[in-house]
Amino acid sequence: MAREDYLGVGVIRNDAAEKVTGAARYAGDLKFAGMLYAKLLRSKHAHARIVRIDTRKAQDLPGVKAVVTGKDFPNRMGLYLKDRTPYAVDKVRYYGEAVAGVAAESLEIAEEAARLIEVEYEELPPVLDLREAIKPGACLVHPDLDTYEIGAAFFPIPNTNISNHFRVRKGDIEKGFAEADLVFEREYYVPHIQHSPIEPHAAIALYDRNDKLTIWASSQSPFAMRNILSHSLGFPMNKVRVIGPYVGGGFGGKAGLNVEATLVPLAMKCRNVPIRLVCTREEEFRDTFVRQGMLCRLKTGVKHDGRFTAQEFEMYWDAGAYTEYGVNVTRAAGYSSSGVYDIPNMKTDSYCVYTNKPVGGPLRGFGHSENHWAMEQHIDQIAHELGIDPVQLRRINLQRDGSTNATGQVLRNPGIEQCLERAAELIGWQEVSGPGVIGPGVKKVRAKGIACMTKAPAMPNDAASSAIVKLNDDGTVYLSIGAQELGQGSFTVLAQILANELGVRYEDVRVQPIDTDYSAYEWQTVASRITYSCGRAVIAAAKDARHQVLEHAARYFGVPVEDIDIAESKVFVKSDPERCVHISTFSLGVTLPDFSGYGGPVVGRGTFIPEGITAMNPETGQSEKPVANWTYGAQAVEIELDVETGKIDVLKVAAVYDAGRVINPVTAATQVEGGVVQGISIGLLEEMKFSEQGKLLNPSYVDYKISTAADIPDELLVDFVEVPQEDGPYGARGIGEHVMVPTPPAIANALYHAAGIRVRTLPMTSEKVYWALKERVSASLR
Amino acid sequence: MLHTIKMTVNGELVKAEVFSQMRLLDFLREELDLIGAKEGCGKGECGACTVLVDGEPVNSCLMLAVEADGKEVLTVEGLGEGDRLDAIQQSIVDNSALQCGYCTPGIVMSAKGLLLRNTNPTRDEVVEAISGNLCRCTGYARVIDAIMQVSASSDSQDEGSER
Amino acid sequence: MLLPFDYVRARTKEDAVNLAIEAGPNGSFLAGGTDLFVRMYDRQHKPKILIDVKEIEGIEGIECQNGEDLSIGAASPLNMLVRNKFIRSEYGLLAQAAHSVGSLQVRNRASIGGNICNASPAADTAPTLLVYEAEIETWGPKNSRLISIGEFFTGPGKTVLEQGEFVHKIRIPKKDTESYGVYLKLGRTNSVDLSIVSVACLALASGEVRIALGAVASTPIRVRKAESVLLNSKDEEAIARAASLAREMAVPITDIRAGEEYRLEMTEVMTGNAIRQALAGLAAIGEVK
Ligand SMILES: Cc1cc2nc3c(=O)[nH]c(=O)nc-3n(C[C@H](O)[C@H](O)[C@H](O)COP(=O)(O)OP(=O)(O)OC[C@H]3O[C@@H](n4cnc5c(N)ncnc54)[C@H](O)[C@@H]3O)c2cc1C
Ligand code: FES
Ligand code: FES
Repeated sequence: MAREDYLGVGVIRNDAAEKVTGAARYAGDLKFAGMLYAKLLRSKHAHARIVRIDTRKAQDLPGVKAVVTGKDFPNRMGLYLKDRTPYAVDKVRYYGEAVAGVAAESLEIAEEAARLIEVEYEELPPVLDLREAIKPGACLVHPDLDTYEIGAAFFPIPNTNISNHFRVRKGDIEKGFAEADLVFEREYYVPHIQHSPIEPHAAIALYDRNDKLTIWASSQSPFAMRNILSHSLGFPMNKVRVIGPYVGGGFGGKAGLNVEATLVPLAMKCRNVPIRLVCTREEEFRDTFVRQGMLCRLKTGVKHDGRFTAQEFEMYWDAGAYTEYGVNVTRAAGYSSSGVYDIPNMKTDSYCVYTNKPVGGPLRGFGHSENHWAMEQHIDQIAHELGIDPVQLRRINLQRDGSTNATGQVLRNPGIEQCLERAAELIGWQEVSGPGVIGPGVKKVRAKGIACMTKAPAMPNDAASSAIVKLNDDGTVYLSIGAQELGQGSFTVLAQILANELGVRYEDVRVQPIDTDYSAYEWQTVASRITYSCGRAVIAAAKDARHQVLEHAARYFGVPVEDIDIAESKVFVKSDPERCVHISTFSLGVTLPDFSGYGGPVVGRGTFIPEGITAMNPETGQSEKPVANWTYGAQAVEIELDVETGKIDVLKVAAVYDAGRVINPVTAATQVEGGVVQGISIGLLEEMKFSEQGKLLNPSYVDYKISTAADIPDELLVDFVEVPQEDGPYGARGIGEHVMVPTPPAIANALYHAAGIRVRTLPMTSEKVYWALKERVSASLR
Repeated sequence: MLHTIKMTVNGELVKAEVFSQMRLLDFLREELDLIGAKEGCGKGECGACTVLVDGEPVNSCLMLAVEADGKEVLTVEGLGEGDRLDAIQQSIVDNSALQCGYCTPGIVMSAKGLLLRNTNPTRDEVVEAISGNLCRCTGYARVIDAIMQVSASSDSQDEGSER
Repeated sequence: MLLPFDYVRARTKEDAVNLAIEAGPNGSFLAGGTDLFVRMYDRQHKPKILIDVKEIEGIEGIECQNGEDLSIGAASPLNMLVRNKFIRSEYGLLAQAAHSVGSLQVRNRASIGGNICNASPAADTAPTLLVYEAEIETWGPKNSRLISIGEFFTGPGKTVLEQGEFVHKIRIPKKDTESYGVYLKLGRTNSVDLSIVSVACLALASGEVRIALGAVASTPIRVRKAESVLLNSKDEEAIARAASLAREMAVPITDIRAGEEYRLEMTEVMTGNAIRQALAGLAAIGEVK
């Protein structure tokens, strides 16, 4: 019988005290005696052949311990597609790519040495325009693409720049459009953006005398990092160890293996000496992961009554120089391409396209922010074409019990309807009929907009979690997991689950820092999957430990196991609660009245893997169960538009998500709050800008603006729907990424309701909005 | 060029030899091992490196160690007494006004600087005090609430002591 | 991390000048460092010697008395201006402009002298100093001189300062009549951002209205042609005409923050608004008195 002592309780975060005092150590805070400092020499061309590298001057500089180039470590690596090397080999493929690395006694010396490295390039035409990149005969970023190792779920097109083509073919698309009374088609675009965690990537690598490589890294994925390194090094896994201190924000950017790889060849040359690399903010912006740009065309067939009959969706991803991780973003955006709607006939093509831009990778939302930017504006426009209120049109088409999504999966009780209704209620939705019109002399207008979303964890079908629970003789409990604390509150929620399930006090649970040599395995801390997946493993481990304690106690008290219970770290006889001892009595086993021992230390183990997920059909993308689960949500916003400048202020946001079961209402709410503000920031401000030569022009906060404390809504209402997830812990499912997905389209829809204008290209800067307004005014005068 | 400098850091007198180019941030982190102040950008934009110099919040990435000669420096490590957190820290904990925590020491110091000068700030003043501290996780609202609550509670304490 | 350099502290005006002359082009004056260290961090600027001016006598602090010029030490941090009661009440526009710079932390270090010596076209205190008709008191190899702010800037990052010359004080002429000033700044975020366009407008009880613009030309500019329209009339038509003249005088560029055309449009919009608000503010003072 599961207790509910800690379910739905907003306990204080277990990492809070350490963080608020500055005691928490992040990777870049670690120091070792004799540590060396690494600096990378980076390419000044977007696309060029490396003719010659001369490192002699650098090597001769006093204090320099090692200099490496691509030739020192040409092994390919990658999570889903092995298309990448730590340093450029023969060719550079984006402005900023690492060409050489230096390890030296000080950062000053390392930088000076990097400057002394001479590189001769032969420039190649850069592939920067997505439309050009997909043309037949386009210059190829990876001519050898067809020789790269790639996961079975991905479909590169040889002799093109397309490293993955994901397809949905559902129903009969032609019939669907033939049935339509109205066909509506538009293009949308999202630019490259960056995660911008406040902690830049940092790592320390040590290659010791036993040929063991240890990396301390600011990483969402210590185990995936170990895995990728081991594969690319050709090392057994026990020779690679990744240690993960606290992470200062990830948002996807610290998933997989990234800049850490550049330390490996350096460490191998400087045996037994740790080497530290901390990215500058410029490197963080350009040389870690970025979110790919995406250009898409969306075409929808709809009946007069509002029913969707068909949808054709073509997405082109500006995926950058390497798409080892990006291919999966394009796949996820493909299989989720119906959004929250039930569309009988669908055709989706999602193309992952190599360009000479920074490396595209996972970013909170993982393809869904991008496709929802299109879908959730599109439906609003159709609503206005048909003269139906946008909320009403959504109601007409929402997925309900028994509906199918893009993959043909039959859905059970999707929570979207409740989310939509609640968000509309919270914002005070009133029927909208048609575009806003700005009267003469009006300087500010207010309006509301709404958008829905759904997302599933994008991960391999067999992504696994595990947990180990160990009781200490002082009554504290160690929880060993491989899930990382990035700020999302996983350590807190998992400790809560453990406390709840085992019957101990939450305060007594200690979540251990991750070390792949000792921690329980976790695939990656991504995909909003930790509460769901690792939560299940923790429940199992806690049950296992609990069972051991119960057995020990039954022996100890001489009663049947069924007569024992544990609560608040006390173990007692149910039929005689006076007979009660602290759980620590059993931590190391029991001493029986005759002084003999029994049992031994309590160690619980638990694992989880979502079952029954099957591959999608490569031709049609159809599958009965393509993903672990779907989380739904809706957001409504109220904005104020400054008509004179085009500036949008988001005044109020209502965000409602179906979390299945809210385990900690505070950490859940904080996820939503942070996500909404990130969504506003992305909606209004964020864009990486490139020169015509492919150089990133704004790799700093000076000109890549993110929301400050002065840019947040006055009011943010958060609520949850709880339609239980069948295989989730207590019914819970993930919400971490979802929360920023619908914000930009909700703002865009509000903008239309305010002023009758559409900005289909993110971000909705004042300048862009201003010109759209001007055009509208002059069009109405014409 | 080497300079001999003397300053008070978290109440303790510190004497050191530093090169001209050593930033206050590096001095604190690398020489004194006070790693609470973080480097998020090195250019004054993120506020993660905020510490108090003579009671005023500054970006320690934009100040030289030698410029702090003779001054009083307070970092997050200098707050609170023993196991007791400073009221601002406690309020941030209680309000769950942190997530990854990387921005937190800087925000705490900005708030400290504000409350030292103004025990009863308005919401706008709190926003002003922390708008130079970027936070990618929290969305700021709870941080603002947490700081507002400290000022409210110190208010009631004042009233209490008057009675 | 910063590249190596030597830091020296100037104790006197003469000291500063001598050190600077000795250092030649390798030297840079250092005040708050909020511009300098950023450029050094980016390796755009690699001085070998930094001459800290902050301890020169009289370079920090505000001297203010009714009926006299306001004198501000060049190294006074902007927050000192923002918090100064006299400046807030008598030269409110200056407090507004200083307050609009960067973040609170930055304003604790950033000096008014550094803001103008850095000579960014977007320097936020510059339009205000233009409308107050400030004078820049410098000290250099040829001893002291007074430079009118209107002649101070010569281009982006360029001023009339000579090698070895530094700004000691900034003088703002005493107030002869009542005035009300408004500083409008358009950025991308609501806080901590550089101006896309900024407008300082000072309405004086004498009937004069002074207007200066930031971020729309190679230097901050005063737009006297626009001002002159308002000498005789202050009705809506005159305001619109002045705003449109301000736009005509602006010669912005397209950069990463905004396009040229948008800057032009905003110049007109914001100039109009600044004039309206300044006139309304002045009228309100009149009513109170
Ligand atoms: C995060 C951030 C945000 C910012 N936001 C803004 C903003 O919104 N608006 C704005 O206008 N600026 C902004 N700035 C720029 C900067 O803060 C200001 O220009 C500041 O006023 C510069 O003053 P300082 O004392 O720091 O100058 P320093 O960096 O010390 O010096 C700047 C330049 O002036 C020279 N100099 C300084 N003092 C003197 C002197 N007395 N005589 C001769 N030469 C001198 C120096 O040699 C140097 O070339 C921002 C900076 C940062 C880091
Ligand atoms: S590190 Fe100092 S402000 Fe970012
Ligand atoms: S809590 Fe992560 S940056 Fe603020």
